[in-house]
Amino acid sequence: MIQMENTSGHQNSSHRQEKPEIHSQCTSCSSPEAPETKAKPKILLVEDNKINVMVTQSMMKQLGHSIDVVNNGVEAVRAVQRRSYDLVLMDVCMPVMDGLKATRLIRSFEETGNWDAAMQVGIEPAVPSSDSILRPQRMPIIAMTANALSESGEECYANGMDSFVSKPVTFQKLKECLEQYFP
Amino acid sequence: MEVGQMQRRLMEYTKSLFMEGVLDNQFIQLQQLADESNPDFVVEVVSLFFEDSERLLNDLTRALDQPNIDFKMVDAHVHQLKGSSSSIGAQRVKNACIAFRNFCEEQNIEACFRCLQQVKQEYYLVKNKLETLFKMEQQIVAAGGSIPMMELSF
Repeated sequence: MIQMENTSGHQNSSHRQEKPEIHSQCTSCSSPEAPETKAKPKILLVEDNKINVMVTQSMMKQLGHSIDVVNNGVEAVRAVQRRSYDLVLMDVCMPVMDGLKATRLIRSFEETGNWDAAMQVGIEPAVPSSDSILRPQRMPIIAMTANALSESGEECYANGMDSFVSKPVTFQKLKECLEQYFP
Repeated sequence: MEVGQMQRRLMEYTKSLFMEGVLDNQFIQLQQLADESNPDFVVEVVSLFFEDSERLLNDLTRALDQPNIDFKMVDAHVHQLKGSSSSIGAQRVKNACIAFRNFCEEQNIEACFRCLQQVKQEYYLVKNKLETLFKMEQQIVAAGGSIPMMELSF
């Protein structure tokens, strides 16, 4: 049954947030960190499709988050080498390097403290890998799957992902995901 | 035509697009992302979808025109189109892409040609319908009215 709602406002959504300031959109990893009284989670979106990027970014903005965006697995590894993230949203199918492989490389770094695995496939580390004395903290990596057989939940877990969100990404799916990792 | 009448026309038109399966709930997701700081979000993302899709359809036409068809490349293009059409709620385009990918896997040339035609047809249909929808919205706003919000309940 389709219901029509005639509202006087342009937008009538129960989940719309109050926005006291405009967040500038982070489309690259080199955006400087603004001083903040409350630390906002640092989120990385790894997605090659421009339309998906625009939609996901807008949903995250409505949830109060600005995000960094990269377009393939190699860029994801480089981004993670440069900066620690609190959450990574990782598309599975991407050109150059897919999300499963990128996740394996990131997990290898977290387990060993070095980027040797990444160097083996030609990704030069941005910082010298011998710097980490402490074991890096494991960051949540959420797969964004297109429900294809080759992107089964099991395969995501087997490659080191923590959970998955099926596409198309909706506001509700992102909200539930964030609530799980940033309660 | 007065504003109330225009609004009713828009609602009927939008409703028909959902009934015909041209759009699905994901389109409502897009509408809910528009707000004061981003009032033209839907038009912007749909315009990007049009641009991107037309490029992909051209690439697909060229790819299927080759003497030795690279089915992996064809599949990659269809995968992209499937992803973006799914993201904006262009349901029939998405479904046509799903069928197309199956035939790519089988490397069935004849069926791929038919699928391309089908995808193009569905794409031009949704493009036409959305352009009409946006025009109707523009007319309402120009006449001082506001855009009624759709709610879908299943």
